[in-house]
Amino acid sequence: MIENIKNMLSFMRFTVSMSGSFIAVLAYLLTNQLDFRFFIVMLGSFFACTVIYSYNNLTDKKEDSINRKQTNTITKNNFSHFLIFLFLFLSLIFQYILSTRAMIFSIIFIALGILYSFFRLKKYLLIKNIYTGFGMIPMFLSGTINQPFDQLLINYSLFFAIFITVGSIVSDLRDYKGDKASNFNTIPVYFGYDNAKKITYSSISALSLVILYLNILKLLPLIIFMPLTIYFIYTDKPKRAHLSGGISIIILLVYLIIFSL
Amino acid sequence: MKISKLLWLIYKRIRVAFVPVSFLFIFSLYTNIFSSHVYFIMLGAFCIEIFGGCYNDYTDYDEDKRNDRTDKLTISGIMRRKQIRNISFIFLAIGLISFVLSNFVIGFYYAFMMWAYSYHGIRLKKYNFKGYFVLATSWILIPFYLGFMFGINFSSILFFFNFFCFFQYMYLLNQKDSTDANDDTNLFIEKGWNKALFICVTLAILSSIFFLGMSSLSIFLIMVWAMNLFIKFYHSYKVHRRQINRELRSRLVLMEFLNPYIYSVIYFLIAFL
Repeated sequence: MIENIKNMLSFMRFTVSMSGSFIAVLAYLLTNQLDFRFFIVMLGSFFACTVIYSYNNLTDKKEDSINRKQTNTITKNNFSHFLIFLFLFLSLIFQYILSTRAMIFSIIFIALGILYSFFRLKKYLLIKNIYTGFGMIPMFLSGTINQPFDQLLINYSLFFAIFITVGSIVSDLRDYKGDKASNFNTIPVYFGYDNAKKITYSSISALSLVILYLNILKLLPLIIFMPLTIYFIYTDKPKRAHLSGGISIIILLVYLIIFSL
Repeated sequence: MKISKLLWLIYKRIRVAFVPVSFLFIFSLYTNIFSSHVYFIMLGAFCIEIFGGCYNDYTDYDEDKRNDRTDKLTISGIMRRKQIRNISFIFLAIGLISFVLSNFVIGFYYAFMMWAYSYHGIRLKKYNFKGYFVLATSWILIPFYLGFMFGINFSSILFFFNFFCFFQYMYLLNQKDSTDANDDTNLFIEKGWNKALFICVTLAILSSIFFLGMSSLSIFLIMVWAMNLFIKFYHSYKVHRRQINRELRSRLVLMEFLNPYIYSVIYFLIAFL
């Protein structure tokens, strides 16, 4: 039983989907007052992310079996397709409770994510990073529910898109050895490891300048964690750098909840 | 070389750039927004499209030379290969500056995709349909930002406009391969003529459906829709009979995109008379 649950969670990529759903929740916290809809936004965006990641599990079956030397048992049987449809159904129901606008945005997000796996876009240099970053924008927009947009919110959405792009470059640094062995055209493989490090330094420092321009008070936790990420990349610990970026988002979330109370 | 020939070649390079301008023009016709912001975004999109074309001429120089396309500025001997690259970068700079001036940062995504379309390291062009899809995703995002920038709430009209732009742009990129049979990568050869034609017709129908949805607001736009549909139908018929060539194709595409301008002329005539 416990093994089944473990399998299920790894099929859903629980932690990754959870951190993906935080983007929508951040958008919600930046625009709306905190109330019960917080949980509905979280669940809806969480299931939207699980649809994409579980479909990605199916398409990357062969590569995962070579790289990790273990395959998920769920991917082998037809039950997996049923699960994906179930997640889709759940996410659409939760988004429909919020508003039709949120539902349409999450449909666009899911379509973009599924086509990413279907067309195997991760093989393309740079496109992989930028597509994943900007593909998150519909997810961000779905979190705003029915709030009208202003220039500040547009800037926020673009900021988070670039934030995720930089995060995916850091994760490319982490997977450098595996990608080089299997001939994937990622940024560190194509431009060289040291050049990729320079790209991340410059993009992270540019992001911190953008925070100063946007709203320092609301995005304070991110700017504290940015020197730490640069330090971890400088000392060749990309795994920790990626982790610190993830933690900064969680702390930002808690900070915004306290801020809005 | 005669000046008329030179002007003709420059016109040929520029005319495809009226596509994004036309999208934006349709948007402002709908919402009655004719502010300096929209004009700057139009200028930016126009320059970015020219940048894409010129940069593509630079990277595809050998392929064009092999196919003997004398209708290009580089092959006919007017410009050297590096000159057209430099000109393309000037247009890129103008485009990006006008995007910054109008606070339209999502345009950078469009510019990046235009560059990635023909850059040798990425080269979206060689993946045919997949690459065209990635380039066209910029037209999923741009209309949302246009709407939100001018304080228009999300409505069915914005939704229709969004998908009209996306499918129309996809159609434009896909039908382009019907005349370039000797290229390195070609949708019509890779997937077979009939299958590629099926893809094009599907995209044309989808874009027409969304355009019809948009036309529910104004009776005049139904005229534009009908003309657009008729030209698409004629175009597909010509591709089906394999009677298509580069010049005819570009003229048909231009006619599709001149529709809104014709509409606006009629509109203003009626308004003033």
